[in-house]
Amino acid sequence: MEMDMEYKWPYENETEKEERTSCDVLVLGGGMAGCYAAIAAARHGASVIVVEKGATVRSGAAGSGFDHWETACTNPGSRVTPREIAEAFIDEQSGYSNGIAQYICCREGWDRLLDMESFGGKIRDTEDEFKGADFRDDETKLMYAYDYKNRYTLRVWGTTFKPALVKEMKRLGVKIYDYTEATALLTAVKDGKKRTVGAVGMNTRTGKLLVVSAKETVLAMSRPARVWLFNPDLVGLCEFRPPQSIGSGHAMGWRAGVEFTMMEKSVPGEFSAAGRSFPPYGTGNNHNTWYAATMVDARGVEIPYVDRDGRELKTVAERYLPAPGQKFFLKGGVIDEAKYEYRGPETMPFEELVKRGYKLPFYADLSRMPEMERKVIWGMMIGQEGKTRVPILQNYTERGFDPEKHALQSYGTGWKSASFLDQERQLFGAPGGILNDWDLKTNIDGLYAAGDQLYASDCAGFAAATGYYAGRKAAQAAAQAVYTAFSEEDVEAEKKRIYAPLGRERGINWKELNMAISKAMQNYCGGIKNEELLNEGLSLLQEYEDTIVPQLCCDNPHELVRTHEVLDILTVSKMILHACLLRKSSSKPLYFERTDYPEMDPERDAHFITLRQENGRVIRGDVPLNYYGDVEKEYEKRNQDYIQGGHR
Amino acid sequence: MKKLTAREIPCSAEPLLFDDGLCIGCNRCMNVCQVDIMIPNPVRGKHPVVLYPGECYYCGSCVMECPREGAIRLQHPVMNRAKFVPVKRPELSQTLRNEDTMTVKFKDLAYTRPDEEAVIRGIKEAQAKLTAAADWEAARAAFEAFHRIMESFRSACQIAQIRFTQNVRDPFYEKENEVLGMIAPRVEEAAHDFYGALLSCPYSGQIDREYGPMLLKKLRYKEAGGGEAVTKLLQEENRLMAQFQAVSGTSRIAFRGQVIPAEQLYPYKGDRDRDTRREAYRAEGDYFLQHCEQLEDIFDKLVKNRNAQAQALGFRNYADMSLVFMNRMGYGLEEIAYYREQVKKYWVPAVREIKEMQRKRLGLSELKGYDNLLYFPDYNPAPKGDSQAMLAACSTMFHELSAETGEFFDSLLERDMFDLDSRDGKAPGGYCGSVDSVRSPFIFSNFNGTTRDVDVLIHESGHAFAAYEAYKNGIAAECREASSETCETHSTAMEMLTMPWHQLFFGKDADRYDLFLMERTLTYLPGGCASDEFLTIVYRNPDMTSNERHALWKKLREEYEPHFADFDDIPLYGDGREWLIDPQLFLCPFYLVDYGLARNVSLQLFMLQQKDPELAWEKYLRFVSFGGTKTYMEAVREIGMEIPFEGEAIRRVIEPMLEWVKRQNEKCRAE
Repeated sequence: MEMDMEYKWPYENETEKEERTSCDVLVLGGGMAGCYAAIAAARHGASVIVVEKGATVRSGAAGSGFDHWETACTNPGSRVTPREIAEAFIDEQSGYSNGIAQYICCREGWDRLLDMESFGGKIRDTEDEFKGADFRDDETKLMYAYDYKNRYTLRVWGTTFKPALVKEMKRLGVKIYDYTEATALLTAVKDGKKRTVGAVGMNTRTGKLLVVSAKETVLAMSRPARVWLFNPDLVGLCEFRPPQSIGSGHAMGWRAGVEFTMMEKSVPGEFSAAGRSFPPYGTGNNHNTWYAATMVDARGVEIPYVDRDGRELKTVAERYLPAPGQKFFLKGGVIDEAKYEYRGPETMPFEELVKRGYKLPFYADLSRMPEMERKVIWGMMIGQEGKTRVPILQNYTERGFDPEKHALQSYGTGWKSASFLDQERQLFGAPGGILNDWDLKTNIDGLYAAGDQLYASDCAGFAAATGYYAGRKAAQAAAQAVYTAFSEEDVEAEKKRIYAPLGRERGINWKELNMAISKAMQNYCGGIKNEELLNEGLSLLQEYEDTIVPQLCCDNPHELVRTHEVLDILTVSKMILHACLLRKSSSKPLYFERTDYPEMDPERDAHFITLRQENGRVIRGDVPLNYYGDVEKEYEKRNQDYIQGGHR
Repeated sequence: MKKLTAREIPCSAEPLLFDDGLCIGCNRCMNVCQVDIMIPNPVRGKHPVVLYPGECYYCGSCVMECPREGAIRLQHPVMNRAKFVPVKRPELSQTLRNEDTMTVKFKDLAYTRPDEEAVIRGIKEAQAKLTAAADWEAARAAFEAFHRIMESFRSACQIAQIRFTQNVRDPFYEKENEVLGMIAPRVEEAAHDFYGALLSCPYSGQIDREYGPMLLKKLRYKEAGGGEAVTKLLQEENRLMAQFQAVSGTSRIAFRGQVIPAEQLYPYKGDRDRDTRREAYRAEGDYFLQHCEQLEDIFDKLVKNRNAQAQALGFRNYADMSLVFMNRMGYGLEEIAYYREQVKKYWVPAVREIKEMQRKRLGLSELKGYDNLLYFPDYNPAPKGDSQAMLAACSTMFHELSAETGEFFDSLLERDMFDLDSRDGKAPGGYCGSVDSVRSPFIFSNFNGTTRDVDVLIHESGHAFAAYEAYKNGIAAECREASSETCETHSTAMEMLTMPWHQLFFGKDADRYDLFLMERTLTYLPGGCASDEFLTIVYRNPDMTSNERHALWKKLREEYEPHFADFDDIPLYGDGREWLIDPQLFLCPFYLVDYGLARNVSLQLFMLQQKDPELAWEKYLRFVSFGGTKTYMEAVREIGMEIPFEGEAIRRVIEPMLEWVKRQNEKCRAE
């Protein structure tokens, strides 16, 4: 037994050392968004540094792969325009959508895929594995998902992507700091205005400090997590995204005064394999990666698919086609129950199934599907989607699962594969984040945001497209900018903050605080909210900040990183509570319910409420839902260089 | 700063396993882990140490990175190992057999599409067991297994059929019916084979003893009337019938600025204002005019299809075959022809008298076709209250009538086995269906505020009562339902024997209703004969053109129902094409004559009731209790009534009934 074994810390102790460096464009976060941002900036002639907490080659939500590239509306097979799909997404989300980012994604997504192909990533069925399949264009060898008629979502071989991106970054001379966490933005006031001038980071193995001076900075880290859902035993399975992706970018942005919106939005949990649910994609379901698997009930009776009009579909092929009279349908990561106009085929609602005598448990039974559809779900999608190649495809196969012979059980009554309680919440399905302008710039000069850090963010394709765009804009700005000095006092203060827990001989472990925060958030910021609860929550979190934080203690840089994460979770939780206090009404699209303001989506509040921090005070802003104007016109006004310049 | 230490933080799971034999300690796994949960092993060349197993994200990047396949493996926590099972092909639906479904309301009954292959496989297995049975016990077990399969299948069909008629625009049940229409003939074919095996098994003595002699008798009829030879044709026939239903069930008739289902036109056809009556018929005629060709085409295909069925089974035509599928036992087409002759001889003249009374009542110089439904010049009797009020009246009536009927009606009310109000999208007409799995009948109607609401409710209650009794008496499925002359006796006798309670529905107008009921009953008979003769000729001469069919219809109308012959120039009604909208001619040919055979017996019971109500009810109950275990002739004789095609039975019914009508007419006039 190796239980409770003590080891010597295997890495050099560099907690007293620091490295100083500089670049034109500093990218914080080395996931899909960060890598594309770095490549764009480097292509535009900037010197680039990427700071990544893990190993860039496999880090981020898409590190181990992904299978769908959504809304690549300009791919050669597409029968929709970027405007059509972007506007449909905006409408589908009742305006609480990132119109700018959605449009960029629809407009430039295909360009990023072509880039990916040039880096060595696989985006076509070059081996002709699926020749002749309904979802494949035999000429271009592109493979489509969901809506086979309109062909705007592509099936891709995402396991090849991160290594290809790293190779390309290296080729372009991007300097990558792996196993380095960014902990703070450095700001300065220039011409009376605050701007970002660099960032502080720390090596997660040696504890060495990194101070980067940068002309422009791109925030490309994750959305917050482990806010409501925490399990100290299986920390890695608390949430859908990687455990170290907990919203540090949001936290450091908040501390620096960045403006956020939609932070009041949280949804009942969809994934937490530490608790109620199972490994993502590892149970019988018919969404996303598994769309449109044949589902059967306990008796083996097939569960009917219906179109938006309730018309029962006769064939598997129809599950991939719009309803009669419908131009296209929307499916994908942030689409849950689409509005009638965009609703695609779906299995009959659970209540109806029960009425008709269907019995739980349900199963996905791929054996009944046409061979190509079966093979593409089990073998390609399961295999290329993140966390599936080894954990699902390989692992289940080793356990004896054969899609031709076995049906995989479904838990709960739908794709979420578990029934979460109302207070078990997550930032999922286009959650809140940083408010951006048409340059994907934040309210602070020199600071851009991409991917999951943007408000109403979506999936991997979104991260790639917005990352590239932000990197491009940052590089263009950097070309005109000069370095601005940061204050040494700020660096000293940050050093004091981040190393403190390592200096304590005894104290409280990070897990204990994370547990306390998530319990507080479940109690005071659950499904139902009111002024008093939210204020109680803030007061309790403040108490933690004042009394528990000074007692945090850990033994090595790895645990120090985890401790920093909890500090960030604490910061983000407070921001969420503040955001909830600002919206004095309830909202369906924001999954926001206040018992003291039960009125649903009143006209007076039908806009983005933003918040930022200034000298410890919360400043509210109100921004119209369509603040970005006509997506196509506004985009084209600002991107002629890109349109004319070979889409680079 | 204190000394850095590393201590393994165990958790409840062990995400990563290493094979020491394969691992070369290259640490590549460790260096791609984004959560950085491993540290290098202090022993060089050995696999890394998983210091923070609880932080594992189960992404598998470490395994993907490993240069030695199998050196590192990932395993999910036990609780997260999703279950998988060998694929199942659905077995027979068990959902319908739950005891607790016996009290479920109809609307809550679960419907599941039967799995065609499983049903057929089940039947074949039962047949194999039957054939291999070493003794009667084993054979009976096989027969009962077969029953269970069939019941489950039938119940699904019954539910789907009822739900479809409740809303013919429901795409789900439309589809289910379409599918079941394809499945049913195949199931019937398998059942047919099973019955063949049952007929040839050596236990007929035991079968007779245990299930009654009717079972094998019926099976022989069934054998003669079905089987593989007609499966395809039956499927086609089902499709054609569904087409007819689709045309008639979705009719939307423009009438006086609104568009209404044909059903809702009915009250206007009996309106006091003659122009309104005429206009109502015309609206309907005009509407169906545009569907005439389609209906003619469907009918023609049905005739050819059914004759093909007949020929495939060795009959000359479908009229000959009707004896088999109508389960006419102990009599044939000759007896029916004799019955029609008798009707023509005695009944038609009596009806003429009745119609003359009606004309006088109405004060018309001439009774036109569109005047038939107006029975009284000032107002037709109409039921008081809505469907709920009528159900309440019915409940009182059945409780007072007898303990048996009270129990029966309570059971239906409890399970809400009714759909009575007319609605857009609902199929026309009224019927009594049943759901075998829950052992209950179901009553369907389209209430429109006229007498017909009561007619249908009581009539269908008669059927429903018989069905309920048959379920209660545990009669084998094959014998539960009697042949249709018998069934229609259950229903039409109920209409008449409940006469003392009709004031519950009509108050002071009950006398009027009873007069109307009897006039309608008596005037109906010739029409049934006309339809029967029409179909007999049509099926014997399948190559008749549509125009020839129209001419034949017109001629027969004039012979049997002269009062229906003159509709001025109203399309369809006035030109001999009216039959195209009669669902009975399309959906249940040769059935119409049965109403006459039935009413003859009912009228005899009614006349007996005038003298001895208790005896009449006792005979009725006895007649109902036979279910389908006796032939029509046997059952009628058993209760001491006369068979209508024997001797002058017809005359002996119509003469006193004409007198009754005259008396009632006087009574109403006096009031």
